[in-house]
Amino acid sequence: MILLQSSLPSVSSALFFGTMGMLALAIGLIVFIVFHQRRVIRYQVQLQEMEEEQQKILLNASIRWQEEERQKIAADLHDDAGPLLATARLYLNENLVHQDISTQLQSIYNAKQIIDDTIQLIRNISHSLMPPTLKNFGLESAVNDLFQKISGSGVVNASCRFHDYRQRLRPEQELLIFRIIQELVNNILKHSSASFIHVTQNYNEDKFFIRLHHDGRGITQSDFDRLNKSSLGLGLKNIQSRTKVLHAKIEFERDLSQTYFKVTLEVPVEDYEMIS
Amino acid sequence: MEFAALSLLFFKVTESQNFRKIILGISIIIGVFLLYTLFTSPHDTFDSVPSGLTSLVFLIYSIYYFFERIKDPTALYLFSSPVFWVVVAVIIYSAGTFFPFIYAKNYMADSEFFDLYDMIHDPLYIIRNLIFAFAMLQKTNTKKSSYMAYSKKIPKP
Repeated sequence: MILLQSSLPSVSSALFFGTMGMLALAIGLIVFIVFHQRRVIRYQVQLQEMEEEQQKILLNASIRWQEEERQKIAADLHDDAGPLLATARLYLNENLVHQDISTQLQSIYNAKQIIDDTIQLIRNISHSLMPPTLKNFGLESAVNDLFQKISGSGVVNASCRFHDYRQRLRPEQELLIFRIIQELVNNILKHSSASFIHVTQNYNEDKFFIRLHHDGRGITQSDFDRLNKSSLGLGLKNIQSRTKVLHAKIEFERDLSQTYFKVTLEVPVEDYEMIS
Repeated sequence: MEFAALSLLFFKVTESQNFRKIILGISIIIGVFLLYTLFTSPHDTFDSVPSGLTSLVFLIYSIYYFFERIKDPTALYLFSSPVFWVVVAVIIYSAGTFFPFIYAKNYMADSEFFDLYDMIHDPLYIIRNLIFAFAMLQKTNTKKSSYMAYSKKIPKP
């Protein structure tokens, strides 16, 4: 008991400092967790803001593209269809009844020619909005049609091969894929000086793959990401927004042989129904 | 009872299967030991070893829980989780009472030690129960808390 009494002050101080030390460690750990958590949340908020910024850029690009398309259609209608119809109206004016029969026939024939041209012009505008081959015969035929026209120029050898296209995709999905291919091909023709373009299609593990190869100057994934974040590259932004709508992935890379550039579009098929 | 309830809680909230097995093993061994000391030790003395051991085990469980939360970058709702506050209460109480429990068996008879013991233990006991109450209130708020609610509180960098 005497021994116990004599050791009590040291026990009390050991107890006090030991407890304080343990509490300091526990509270320090909790404070660390709190600060770490705040940092994680801040990081997530930053990521979200970056994502929103990217969405805004894509939306702007999409709106700009739509406006450009509308302006193009308006210009086609105003500059081409308008004068043609006005000319046809001139041929078919009221004075026609007072003229001789051969002049009347000539005027009617001219007016008919002009109306036929106008019909063809409007058909071309309509086809540029929704290719009839795509609507009636599917993606394979539409891409084949596009590539035949490109090859016909004799400058670029364009070919495509669909390996597994037994079932058609939904029309709006086919249109989006077709527009992506069109935009890619358009970029290749404009910027790459390629001598050939080759497109292949495959279907594997519920994924629809489109692979495009060309031997010109191309871009890699880092270039694509960089251009998407900048104000340049409206076409690429359209590709990106269409890819998002499809819930697809797009990858730009250089072939292992360093000879070709490759673009792979990977569309998950379970996201939408296939139609027979 | 308290040991069993808290061990069950840690078992439920731990994601690692291996650590769950460790919790189960430790809980069974210590549970048996606690039951043994409950029936064999004299009723007028303080059970320092079982109490200290329990505090130590809860400290280890709590540290592992925090470690798992740090590893998981998707754990954004930590502050609105009642489990987080329960673990905070447990870690503070266990850390603060570890030394008093260890010394209590030999020195509890001394009034000076008893006063110091009360001075440490009682506030920690109150703090623990207050945090438990806060955790229970958190449970009703869980649905209301959202990611955006946090983002509004944080100043933009």
